[in-house]
Amino acid sequence: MSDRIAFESTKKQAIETARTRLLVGGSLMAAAFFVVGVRLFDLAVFNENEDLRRAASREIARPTPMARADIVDRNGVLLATSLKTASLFADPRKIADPADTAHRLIEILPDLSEEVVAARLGSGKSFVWLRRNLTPRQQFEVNRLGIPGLEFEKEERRVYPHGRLAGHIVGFTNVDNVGLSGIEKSMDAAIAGAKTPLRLSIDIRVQQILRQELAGQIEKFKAIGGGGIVLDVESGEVVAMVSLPDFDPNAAGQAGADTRFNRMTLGVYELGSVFKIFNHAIALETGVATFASRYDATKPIRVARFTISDYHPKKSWLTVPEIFQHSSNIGSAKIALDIGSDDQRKYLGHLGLLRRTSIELPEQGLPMYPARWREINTMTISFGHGIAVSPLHLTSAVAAVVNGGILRPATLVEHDAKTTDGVQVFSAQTSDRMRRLLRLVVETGTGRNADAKGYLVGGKTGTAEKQVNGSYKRNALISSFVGVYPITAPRFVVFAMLDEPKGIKESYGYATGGWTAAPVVQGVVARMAPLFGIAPLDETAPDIRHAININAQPAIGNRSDAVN
Amino acid sequence: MIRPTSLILMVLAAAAGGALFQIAFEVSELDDELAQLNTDIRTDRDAIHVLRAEWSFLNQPARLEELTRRHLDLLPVSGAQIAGTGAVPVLPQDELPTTGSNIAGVVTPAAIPAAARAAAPRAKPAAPAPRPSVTRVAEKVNRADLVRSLDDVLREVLTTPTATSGGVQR
Repeated sequence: MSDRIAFESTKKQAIETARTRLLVGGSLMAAAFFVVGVRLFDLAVFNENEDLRRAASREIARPTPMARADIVDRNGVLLATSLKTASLFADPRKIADPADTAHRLIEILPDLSEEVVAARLGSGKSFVWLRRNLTPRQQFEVNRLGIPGLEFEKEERRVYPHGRLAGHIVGFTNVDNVGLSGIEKSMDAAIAGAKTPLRLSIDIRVQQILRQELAGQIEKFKAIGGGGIVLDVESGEVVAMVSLPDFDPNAAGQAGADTRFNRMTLGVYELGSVFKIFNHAIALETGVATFASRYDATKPIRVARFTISDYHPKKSWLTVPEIFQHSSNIGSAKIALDIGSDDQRKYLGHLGLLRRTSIELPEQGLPMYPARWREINTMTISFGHGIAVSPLHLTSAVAAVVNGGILRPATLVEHDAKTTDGVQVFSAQTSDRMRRLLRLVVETGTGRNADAKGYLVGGKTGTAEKQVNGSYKRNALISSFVGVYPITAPRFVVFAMLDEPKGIKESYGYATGGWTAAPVVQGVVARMAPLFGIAPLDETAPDIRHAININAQPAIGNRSDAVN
Repeated sequence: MIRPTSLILMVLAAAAGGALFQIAFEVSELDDELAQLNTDIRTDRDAIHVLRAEWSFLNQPARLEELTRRHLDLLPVSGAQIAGTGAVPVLPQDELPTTGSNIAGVVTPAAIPAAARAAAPRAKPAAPAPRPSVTRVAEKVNRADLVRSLDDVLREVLTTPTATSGGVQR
């Protein structure tokens, strides 16, 4: 019995042990399941933030960030953009048949040499460049070959769809997308950071018109270069600006320094008779002369070693409008003497002609003028010699003369507001009188070639001899014309300039502003006016005759001699 | 033995599990779809970007001008061809045709009797404005330029070294 009891007790003990072990194991499992359960519950019910974060990361694709924003013209036409390009490289170890691969690549990229490519592919290295910067189409073609081992690296490249048409304005960048010239340089930070395109004030259509008209005249008169500006007189916006010869910013590296030179902002020139606009305006503003004032232009003025004479001397007393109409240097110099050096300098300063312009371009020329403003300087500056400014300086100042007397900073970036704040330089009355004088020049004076019928162009010619090594060169001219239209209520100033035009048979050997630059202005005005909704006017209508009447000597208006 | 409550709970648990799996698969599928759509959008955006550049390139004014000259019988509008409403002759009231349109001011050319047309005062000279002749020195645009696409230009651009890069080929 004891034997059995012993057996029983042993058996019972074993069962007890097993039970305990089971209990421990079961508890551990239960605890583990409990932990998993709690975690599941937590994930499913309480972990909202994680879900939201996940959802947010799954948003609609954000636009691929570009290194630089686009640049567009005033109508949104793309002038500069960044395109993704791909550079082709290969892992030669994965290339099964180098010769065949090379042959097929050459068909897509004909500028590569088949031998070189085959050699590179057979080199056994792990990485070789085949070609940097493929066009999207080339990339597609290479992809379509489906050859393993050919791969691409993404890069960005600045592209200028309109090429040379806006080259000087837009500028260009280097391979690392850093602006090197033009707007690309001056507004580099703004372009690099922006998401929206930078909108310029220029109109690519007007740009084309201006360039084409200039190119025609440059070819005709065998000039070495030229340029033009179209400026909105109310806002100071540059609508077009061309400097020829120009360059293609897509291949700026190969462009010569002379083509990259912007004659309109970086070049400073003695512009000649166009400066008489300011001389007359100052005289009328300060009251030293009126339309009825007369000056003795019978003989040249001799001061020290200089002689101031007229291009086509009238050899008579001239009224103030006649001096302007016939572009008399003698008369202008005498008016300037009446104005005096101080007032002349003061007003030229107010017109912004003695300081840097406000244009958003890094290429800017500083005006050159005498440090000591003597009497002789006052006299020569009255007709645009002895002072050199950039054409943009001049255009901007002319806008101030005709728009009611307010100088507004010239800009290349489109304004939101229609007009900008400016500085009142001349009175509205002076401005009105100057408009009549400018119209007189085009109707009966030296600027008749600028008369775009119906658009009431007013303007002034300028012909200046270039200074070479300190002396004036007789046959190297800067011929220019600055026009304003419609003269009754000016909208635009149009400036055109030719550098060293040569006289031709058609112009009777003349290469003056009236023969070379005025037709450019005529062409630009006639072609751009419809684009801006400017309707032609009937020039014979009484109210218009009244608005441009000079009310001076009856002899005015009958003379039609072509003079400088 | 299984009590009814347990049975219901088990069925519910199974249903919940099944639904969970179903939803999980659906989400995964939608995820894939979204990723695909995002890729497509990005590709399309890039393509639009390239096309915009190409559009701008193809709309170069010089190119359009040459194409117009070649294919259309159109010329730029000259000032002489533009007139305001004031320059349009007004037909005297009693000469208005009774059968035509009687809306004041609307007179179709066909409805005006020849006599009335002859009598109508002319504000402008009778001779039509002379067609402006193209005497401008047109820029020479060669044929190759017109059929050139942005891709061709890019190819040229991208093969030319820029100002600061020594060369494209490495």
